[in-house]
Amino acid sequence: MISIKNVQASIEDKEILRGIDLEVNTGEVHAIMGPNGSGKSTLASILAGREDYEITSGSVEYFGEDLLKFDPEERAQKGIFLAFQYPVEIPGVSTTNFMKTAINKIRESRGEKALDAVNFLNLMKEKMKLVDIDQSLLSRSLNEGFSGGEKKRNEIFQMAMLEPKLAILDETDSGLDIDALKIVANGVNKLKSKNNATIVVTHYQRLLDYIAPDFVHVLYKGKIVKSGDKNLALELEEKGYDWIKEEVALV
Amino acid sequence: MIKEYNMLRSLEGRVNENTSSREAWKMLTEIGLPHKKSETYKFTPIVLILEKNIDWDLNSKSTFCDKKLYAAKGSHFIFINGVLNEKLSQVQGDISFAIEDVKEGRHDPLSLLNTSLASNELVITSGTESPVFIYHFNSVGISNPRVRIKVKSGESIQLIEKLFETNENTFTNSFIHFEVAENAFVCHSKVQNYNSSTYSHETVAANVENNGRFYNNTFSFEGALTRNNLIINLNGQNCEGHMYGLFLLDKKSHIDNNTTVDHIQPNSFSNELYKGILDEDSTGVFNGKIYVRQDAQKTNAFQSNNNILLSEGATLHTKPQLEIWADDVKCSHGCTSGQLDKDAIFYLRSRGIDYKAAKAMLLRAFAEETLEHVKLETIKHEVLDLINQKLL
Ligand SMILES: Nc1ncnc2c1ncn2[C@@H]1O[C@H](COP(=O)(O)OP(=O)(O)O)[C@@H](O)[C@H]1O
Ligand SMILES: [Mg+2]
Repeated sequence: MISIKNVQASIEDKEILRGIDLEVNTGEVHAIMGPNGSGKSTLASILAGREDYEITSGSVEYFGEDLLKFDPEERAQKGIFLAFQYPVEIPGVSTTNFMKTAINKIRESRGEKALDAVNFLNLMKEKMKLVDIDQSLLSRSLNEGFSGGEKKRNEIFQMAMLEPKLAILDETDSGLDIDALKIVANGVNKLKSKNNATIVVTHYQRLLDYIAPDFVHVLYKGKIVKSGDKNLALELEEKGYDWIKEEVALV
Repeated sequence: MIKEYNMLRSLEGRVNENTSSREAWKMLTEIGLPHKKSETYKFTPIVLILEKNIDWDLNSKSTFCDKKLYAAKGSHFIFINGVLNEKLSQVQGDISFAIEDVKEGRHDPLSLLNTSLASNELVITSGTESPVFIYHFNSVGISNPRVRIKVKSGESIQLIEKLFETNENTFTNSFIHFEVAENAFVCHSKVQNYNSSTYSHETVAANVENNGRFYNNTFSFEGALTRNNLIINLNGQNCEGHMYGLFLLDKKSHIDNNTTVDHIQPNSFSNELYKGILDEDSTGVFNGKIYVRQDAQKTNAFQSNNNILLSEGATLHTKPQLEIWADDVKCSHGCTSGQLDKDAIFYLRSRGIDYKAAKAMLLRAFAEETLEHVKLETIKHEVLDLINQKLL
């Protein structure tokens, strides 16, 4: 599905990613872990098309196409979804309105007709149930005054609405209590199919108790320094990141 | 002695015969028109601009067009070149009106100019029927419409004003005065979507008595020069003054919103929200004055002005001005100006919404807050349509 090769990126001459290689196939769940400041969010943002970063070398192929040449909206239209670590507050725009516009823009790009009001409402209702989110929250200004947990849940709601092929969840677990975490994980699991894939960026192992990853990668100082299966996450949980840092230092 | 500007010399011959007009002219020649250093016209050197662009003797038939009128029930008053045309006007219900001699008005230069040149004054007295529409179709060098609205105790009026300059390089210097009696309510709205050769100076003044409420909504889009002077005198107790405005400009449009609310007696309230979106080479000026007099204890006065600049060529001047002589008051003011929120744009785009639509979505949400107090659907739709047109 997506093949990331030797991606290096910097911002204002500061090198952040120093050669990332990652291959994700349909049906897979990949977890990317690593200490703060490793470059996890940078990688997620680059895949979604944020323009602040300069990609100095490498390539990203997505379903056979060069992903990096597309605008953020084109990537979304092609099925990429980023659940933001810090969802943006947008006064005056309700989630409902936002989603209606987004869905119809995506449909338009695929040559499909706009959803009518009834179908849109039905879709909303179905997806609201999935992440146990309240109508009143969706009528309010997008993320404005939402609690941390509400923002994250809203991200997963949007993901459910847009049904992406590749979902990238950036620290969706942070700020969630255990009940909210279960709801979010449950939502993600229900949306999983053999035709889509998920990259879960997380700091902690606890989300991975609910979303079982097929692969776990450790990102450190802008490089994937270790990959393994879900046992790697358990090992990190137990031992922390220091042993990884030591291993890297030795090389 | 006429000072400095040719403008006064050119207009001297047109001063009205009546005493108030002559006195106003005399006063005007003494104080002079706003000059380069005038604090209140600092960013809008109006006389220089007018002298450069206006041919005072320009005369042509006005192109009145009834298609431009709002298709809404109510009374419709039509002014042609600053003079009421009774034949074209339509009065509905128990609204009454009279044409009277011009009386003494405000003493700022442009108000004095209006008092000097206006041929008469339309006086409208409220009834139970509303809304009232006033249209101006102007095509001569200078037009001086003058209106007084009397809203009787306990009554209310919705007034919508609309100006069309149907010729190039014309100037309108309008003056409208509201007398808001005890417990009376006024909502005055105008949509200023002119063109790149329209010049106007529009004064709106209101005197509000006990428990009276006055709302003004001003939506400005295009215009070579638009200066709005809005003055609300809260003369009574427990009265309210509301000022809401949006300016969404592009090209070389220049708008100057100069507002004053004067709290004179205790327990009154004022609220002001102006928002600006400036694109291309446009200029926006906001100057909001709040006076709280010594007797005006327990005043609540709030003001905010928020702006988004979309281009490097756009210019904004914003200045709050609070003068408070009472000690037990609640006042707040704030102004912000910035660019479009890049993170918000990326967030919207990451959901499949293209840049243009994302930008329009954010700006529309920003602008719509100023529409909250517009009750008349016709106006609301007109403004929303204009916002969409300008943003998409
Ligand atoms: N917009 C930015 N400007 C400057 N530095 C940045 C910016 N974004 C990220 N960085 C830096 O890049 C590094 C990686 O950040 P990030 O990708 O957010 O890490 P993580 O998500 O793994 O915590 C950090 O050192 C951070 O300070
Ligand atoms: Mg991060």
